Amino acid sequence: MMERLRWADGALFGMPRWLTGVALILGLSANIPAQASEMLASLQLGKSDTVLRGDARCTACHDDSDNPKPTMLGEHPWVLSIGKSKHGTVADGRTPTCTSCHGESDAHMKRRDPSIPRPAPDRSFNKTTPASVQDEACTSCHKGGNRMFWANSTHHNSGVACASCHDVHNNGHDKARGKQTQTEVCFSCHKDKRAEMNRPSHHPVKEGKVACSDCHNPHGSAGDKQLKRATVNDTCYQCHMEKRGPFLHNHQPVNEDCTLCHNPHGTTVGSLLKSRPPFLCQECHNDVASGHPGQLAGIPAAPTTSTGQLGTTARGCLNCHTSIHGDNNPQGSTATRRFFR
Amino acid sequence: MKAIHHFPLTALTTALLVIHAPASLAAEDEDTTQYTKPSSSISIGIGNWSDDRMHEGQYDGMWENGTHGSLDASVHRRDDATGTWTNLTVKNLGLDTFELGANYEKQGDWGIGMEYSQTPRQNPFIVNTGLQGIGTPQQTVTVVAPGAGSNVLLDMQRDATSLNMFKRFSPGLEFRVNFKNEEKNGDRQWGVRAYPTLGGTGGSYAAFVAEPIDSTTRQLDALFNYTSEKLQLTGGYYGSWYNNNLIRLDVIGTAAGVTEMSLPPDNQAHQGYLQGNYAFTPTTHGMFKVSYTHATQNDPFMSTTNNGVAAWAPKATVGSSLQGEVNTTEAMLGLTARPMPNLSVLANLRYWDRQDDTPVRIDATNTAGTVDYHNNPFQNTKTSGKVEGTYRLKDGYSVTAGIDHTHQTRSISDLIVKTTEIFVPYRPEMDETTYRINLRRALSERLNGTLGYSYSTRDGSAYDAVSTAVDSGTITPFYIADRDRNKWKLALDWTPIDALGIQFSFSDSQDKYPVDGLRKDGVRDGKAQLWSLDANYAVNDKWQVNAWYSHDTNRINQVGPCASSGSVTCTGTEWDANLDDEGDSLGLGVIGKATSKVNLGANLDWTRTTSKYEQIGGTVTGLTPPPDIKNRITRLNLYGTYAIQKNASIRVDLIREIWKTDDWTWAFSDGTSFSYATEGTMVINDLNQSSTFVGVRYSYKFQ
Repeated sequence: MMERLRWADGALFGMPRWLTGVALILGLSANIPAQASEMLASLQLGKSDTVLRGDARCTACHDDSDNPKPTMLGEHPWVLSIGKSKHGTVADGRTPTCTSCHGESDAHMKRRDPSIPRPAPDRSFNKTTPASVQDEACTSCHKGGNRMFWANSTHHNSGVACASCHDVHNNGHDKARGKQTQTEVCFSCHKDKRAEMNRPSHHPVKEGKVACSDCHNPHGSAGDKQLKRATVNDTCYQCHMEKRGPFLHNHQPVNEDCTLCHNPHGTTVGSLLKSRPPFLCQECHNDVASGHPGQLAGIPAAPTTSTGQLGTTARGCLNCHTSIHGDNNPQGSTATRRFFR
Repeated sequence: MKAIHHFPLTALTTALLVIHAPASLAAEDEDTTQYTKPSSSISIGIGNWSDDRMHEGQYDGMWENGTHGSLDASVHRRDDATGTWTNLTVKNLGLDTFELGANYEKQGDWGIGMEYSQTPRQNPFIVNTGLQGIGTPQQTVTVVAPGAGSNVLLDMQRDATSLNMFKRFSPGLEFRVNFKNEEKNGDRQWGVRAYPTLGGTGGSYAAFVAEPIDSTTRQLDALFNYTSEKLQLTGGYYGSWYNNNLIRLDVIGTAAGVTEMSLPPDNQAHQGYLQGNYAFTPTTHGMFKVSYTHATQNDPFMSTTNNGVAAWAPKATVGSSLQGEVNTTEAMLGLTARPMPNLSVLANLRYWDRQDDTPVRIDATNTAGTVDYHNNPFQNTKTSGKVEGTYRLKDGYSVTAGIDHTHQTRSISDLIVKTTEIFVPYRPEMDETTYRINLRRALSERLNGTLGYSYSTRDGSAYDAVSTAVDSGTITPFYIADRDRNKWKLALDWTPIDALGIQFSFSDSQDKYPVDGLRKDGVRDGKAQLWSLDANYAVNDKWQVNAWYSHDTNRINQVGPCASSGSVTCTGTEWDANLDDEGDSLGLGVIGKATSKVNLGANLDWTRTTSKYEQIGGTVTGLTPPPDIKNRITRLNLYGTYAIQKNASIRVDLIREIWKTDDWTWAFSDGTSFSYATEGTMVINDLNQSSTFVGVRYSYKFQ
């Protein structure tokens, strides 16, 4: 099938793109169909190829009976399934062949003595291969965009390789990229987050509605904690923009950092609070010898309107200080300044 | 892997190949295609939960007992000649967690796509109330005897729709745009302090109200990516808008008057950014980012009319809207290099400056006319730097050492009259330095791991001076307090035999908050510890088991003055609280192939948390000290899949879920449900929720 000629493909004809464009416009491109045919040929499988351009030297052995993971109970064969993924889109001239990632692997190919183990391919994606060597195969193409800060990222500098998380051969289903399956990958290292996500108060992560990558960019970012946005607050505002304000009456820690009061990964207190009122509030509001901010915690025996008895039960301090994230009420009273309304 | 047989191509074999090759090759092609071409699937399932599960079903759209059905589909088509994909994904059609995605893309050239997602949130409590008007911005408090009102279930739902598009103009230049619109609707369990409109003259006079939610959030991200051999650049625009269709909630009390509660105001932000990475050499990269964000909030203040009750007049100086403006600048520079084969270095410098340029709005003046009350725009800056080096030793060992430093400044409005107004006594400058070292072993087939230690210390300049005439000294934020932190971390990844993998991790963090000038009380010590053990064992090529267990501890010690308040009398001088949160989590899983057509599996998830609130020092009358709280969640899932044919299967699931708690948050000291003294609303928390699910799902795969 004839592919529509693209402006971007002009460079493949050996001339500057602007010149290609001019030639097309002026109808002076009579020789282009022949060149295009050559180009298209380069975007198709060879006669002996099975799934990727030039894969014959590999798929002669790694065929449909191949499965290098003997305990894998999922679909196989492992190698050929790359064809189901974007890497297997041969018509996209950027896609690789086997040796693009694994190297020419001549020693692996040319073993003559069956009595000795076959040497591994030049580049294997396992734990005995340095991450930097593994990543060369990926970052030679996958660079820029949201991978801009990979070299600067905590993951990269902790020896985490692309293939530590991603699985390009897995039948087109890379767990790291699935909202429902991503936590399996992240929790394999972040055990503390796994424990927190099982807390009674949590974001709907285990329910599959929020993924780690909704907040974090595991490929690195310019800010802290590999967050997608510049700060914790900017990240939270993606879904909780009603907290952004600014308000007529701001609650300063709200402006500074949501995680001063909340643990987004899960807690035992409602609303993902890190601690329970009044203790949470008393982390800042404490030095008072009279008045209720320093009051002891406790549970009343019966319905009450006493401020001193309502600081712990129900919404705790927030029974009265209801608009704790900020108050835009212009009524000008103690009630508004103290986030009552 | 198949064996390679070398044999001479005889005339006979040549003849056989000529005769049989076309047919056998065609069959092989068909066979291979199933492994190499995108595949699709569709499944439909139905199941029944035996009982309500208001806690565990908060977000999964199946909190209510009864029958639930859903359809999933994942359809992927690729035109191999052009590399054009057509994808359609349907998930949970029939549930409140419905998701739909579709995209059409010529890979590497252009693409368009859309996504739709529903996220429900069911409030896990039953609210028995006399409140009228829930779901509207006018709610009338009606007094009922506790338990004599109507049962109300509150919920919210987010409906998010995204549209995205990309176009690649040349091998190195592409444009991407993503627009997301999210509607959020529902009712949130809220509260109001409403005297005298509830007939009180003091105290809390708290009552139940339900915050009506009807808002829209929009985000637009449009960017250009440029990538060449050495240079990577991304520049773009990120805009975000919050629009609340409700401006206030009027709470019509039992006595004369209306309590007007402001609801979150509309706001918007516009950000421009440019970030880049330049490879000076294959191992030396320089990175940068600059961004500027202009955020505003100019939503009109709520109006002065209120349901026929006498209107109030805001002070003229407050204006008709805040005209809030926050401008934030971010700049970052980074460098990574490998000056020697065994040495990698990294350096970062980041500057972040948040300027609240909102004009000062005076909304009240004290009775004597001597003190104006107004908003307090704050200015924050944060400059942080990091230097880190990794040296690779023999046998896969490496050492990483680094220093991080953060300098923060905070300033408050010059208009604050510190002798008459309450204000937060900040420390204008704060510094925190972290020293860390990490030993890592990698590249071994059997045992890898890391051992790390870090120490950080935080201090700052003197607190702003406070006047004894006002209570500014009552606010001493813990996050600007002096702090010393020691942290250890150990992680091991052991593969004693090929079939068995074991992971162990341990982390311990200890915080000390010394008394630092103004701050006498508050948090003193903190501790966070976790250890975890994971194991994965392949019994044979058909059966696999995994198990994990983790235990975590979080402790805080904090101190406060023993204060009497209202009807509560505290007779000591200072209290000392030890807050302890402990969690145990266990997971067990088995999956296996029982026969050529039957796969079986089981998963067990169990979590127990214990929260302790030990408070000593003061003697309090009128309250019961908070007891411990235990939460337990157990979920056992047994499942089996039977292959009806090569591309069709039936899966049966049996789930037993148990949620237990003795959480007293919504209870009185005798365990009865909490109710508001003002109007009788009772909040009921079902402490034991067990439910069983039986479901069956038919799946069909096709290409």
